[in-house]
Amino acid sequence: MPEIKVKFYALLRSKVGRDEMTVTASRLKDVMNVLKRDLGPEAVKVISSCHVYINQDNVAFLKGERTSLKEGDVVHILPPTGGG
Amino acid sequence: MATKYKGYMGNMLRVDLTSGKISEFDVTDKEREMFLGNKSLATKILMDNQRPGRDPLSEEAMLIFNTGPLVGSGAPCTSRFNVTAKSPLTGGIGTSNCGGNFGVNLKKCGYDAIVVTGKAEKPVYIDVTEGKAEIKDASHLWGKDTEQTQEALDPKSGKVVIGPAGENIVKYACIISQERAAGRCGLGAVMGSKNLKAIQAKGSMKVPVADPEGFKKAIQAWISVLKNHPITGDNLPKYGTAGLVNKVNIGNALPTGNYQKGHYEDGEMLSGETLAEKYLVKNMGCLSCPIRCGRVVEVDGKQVKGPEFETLGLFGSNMYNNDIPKINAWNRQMDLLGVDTISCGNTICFAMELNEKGMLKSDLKFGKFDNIAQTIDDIAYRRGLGNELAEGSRALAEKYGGKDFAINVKGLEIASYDPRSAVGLGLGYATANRGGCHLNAGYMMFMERIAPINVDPYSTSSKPGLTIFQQNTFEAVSASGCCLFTTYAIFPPIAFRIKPFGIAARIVSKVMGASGPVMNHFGKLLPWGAPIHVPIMIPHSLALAKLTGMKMSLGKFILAGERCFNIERLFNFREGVRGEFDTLPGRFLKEPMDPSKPKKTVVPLGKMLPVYYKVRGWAPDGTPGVRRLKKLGLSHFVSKG
Ligand code: SF4
Repeated sequence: MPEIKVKFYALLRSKVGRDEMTVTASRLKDVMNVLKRDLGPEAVKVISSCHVYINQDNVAFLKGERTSLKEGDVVHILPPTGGG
Repeated sequence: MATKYKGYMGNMLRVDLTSGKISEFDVTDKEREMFLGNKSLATKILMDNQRPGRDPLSEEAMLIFNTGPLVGSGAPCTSRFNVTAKSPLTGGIGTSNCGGNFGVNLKKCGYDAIVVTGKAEKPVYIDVTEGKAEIKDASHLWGKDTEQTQEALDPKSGKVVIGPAGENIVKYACIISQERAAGRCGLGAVMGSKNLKAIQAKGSMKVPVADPEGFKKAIQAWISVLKNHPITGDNLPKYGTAGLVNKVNIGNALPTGNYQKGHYEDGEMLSGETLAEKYLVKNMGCLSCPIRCGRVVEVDGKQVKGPEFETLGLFGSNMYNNDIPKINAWNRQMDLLGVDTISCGNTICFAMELNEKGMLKSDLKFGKFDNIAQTIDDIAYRRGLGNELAEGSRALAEKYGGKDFAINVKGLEIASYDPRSAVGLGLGYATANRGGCHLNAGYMMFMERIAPINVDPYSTSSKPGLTIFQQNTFEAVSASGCCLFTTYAIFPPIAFRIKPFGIAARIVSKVMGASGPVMNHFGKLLPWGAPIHVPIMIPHSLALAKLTGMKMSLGKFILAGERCFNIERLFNFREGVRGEFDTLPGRFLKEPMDPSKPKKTVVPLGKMLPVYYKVRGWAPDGTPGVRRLKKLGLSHFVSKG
């Protein structure tokens, strides 16, 4: 199974207690399952309001959690942010 | 008071610096109903009183400082006043919004606006007190920076000042109030051209309220929406606008190497997270703001305003700089000199690429930073190459070439988002009246990459309609006197419970993408006449109704925004900034950001623009159509020519 780097941003970092972790997964759904298993419920709640990108693509425009992953992919989990 | 509407002081000042004459005037209640205030009403005043084709730096040019009804009312985020004039940078409408303490204090003196014309023989400032104004000698202030100038004036007054850049007519000089800037369009140069160093205002009058109880309730509910919203209640206070750096960088839209790329390897080092963790002293806010998105950092042992997202992009990734302390120091320097950081950063990066391509030899190079502080100084004092950079990127391209990578629209350098990764924003940039401004553009970035449910950032479907809706809403919010960040609540907190990558969000997003023709008329689907408000999403219309006593509804509010957008467009047309200026730098139209997806990573502007014009009710060449103008009450401007 491919090794995938998962990166956390903004408020999620303090909930998770780290900036990134590595998981082995072949679909985004597997990554989410690992996160559900390994992180606290608060972090999981925040993740459900996050944008998720694989490398530079928003998975909402790929196949959502069914999107496949390959070795070296980076999953970015980004809480709501604003600016302008 | 000459107006039946509350929220206004019902009086305006006219100051002619040539003759020294000071008089009072007022607009009509009909005009208040139609244009509300701030940039919108100011453009109407400009259209009515300044002859077409005037040089923006001439004596005859008008410079308008205007407020909106919500300014000083106690509603959240409503210290925003506006400065309007013909822009010396673009030749079209120049408007800029500022959160400093001037607008609130001007209203405390009993005035909604000051219109300045003429040119003083020697440096002056205007001193406004209750019901009175005087022109005073400012020789002792000339040459001082914006902080020294503010410190030398009455500490209890609200102020607007220029720095050396405004005095030296740098085409993108800004106007400063406290540590906030009316940054864009070179309005500081207009002030400088009049020998006007500052205006101060001190009074104690109160903004009248039509329905005090109803207004209090409306603003309490509004504050609670903002405080409980994940963006305005959580993210913006913690990370400021810099909180966007990582998201924009990952989304391939962070300008890198003069917008040659949209992703910077060291983006994390410029992020809001890094800023908060390593350099943030505290956050701060404009008057009456519960969001408090401003940053305070230390420069040379002093606590000063920190950089915004735009400055981190344009003085960071865009020149391959990953060092926040350097940006903090340059940001401080530009604030003191009175220089717009967006235009300045953009113009310097353009000169770096010109040098790289051998088109303009200089010491400016991507990745070289030891000469940036000197370059900023040279721009403000118009020395050497700085004198040329002070004219902006469009003028530089006219002299040295490189028009395709001079990153401006209508002469105004664009913000720190590459539109090839958010094509709706590209349409917005192209059509924005003041030029390359993400806010006047309608900030489609929000719908394309920030909101919980996004529309596909690479698809053109539904973009014209959504862009128009956003542009009109932003104009109305600005005209009311409120900060645009309050519009984040358009997606209320409950919308953030939807999983952005879940099936529901994906279905809604697909439906929005597939229903282009319907979405394009989205704005028209609103029940315009019905007296409804939707305060959980757009609280401004209800607050305005309670404050002013106007017959206001959500539909009328957005319609006022459309009127504002159109009158600015009419001003531009009158000044020769016509449909052919609705375009983007060649880089965004022809150079794919990702060569493996050439079609996907340029902005297909030609596909969106005709639909946009049609939905706006404009002719195929972009001329505002008489039928729509009639509906907006603006058709007489066309028959006048
Ligand atoms: S949100 Fe930020 S810019 Fe807007 S009023 Fe508040 S502090 Fe000022």
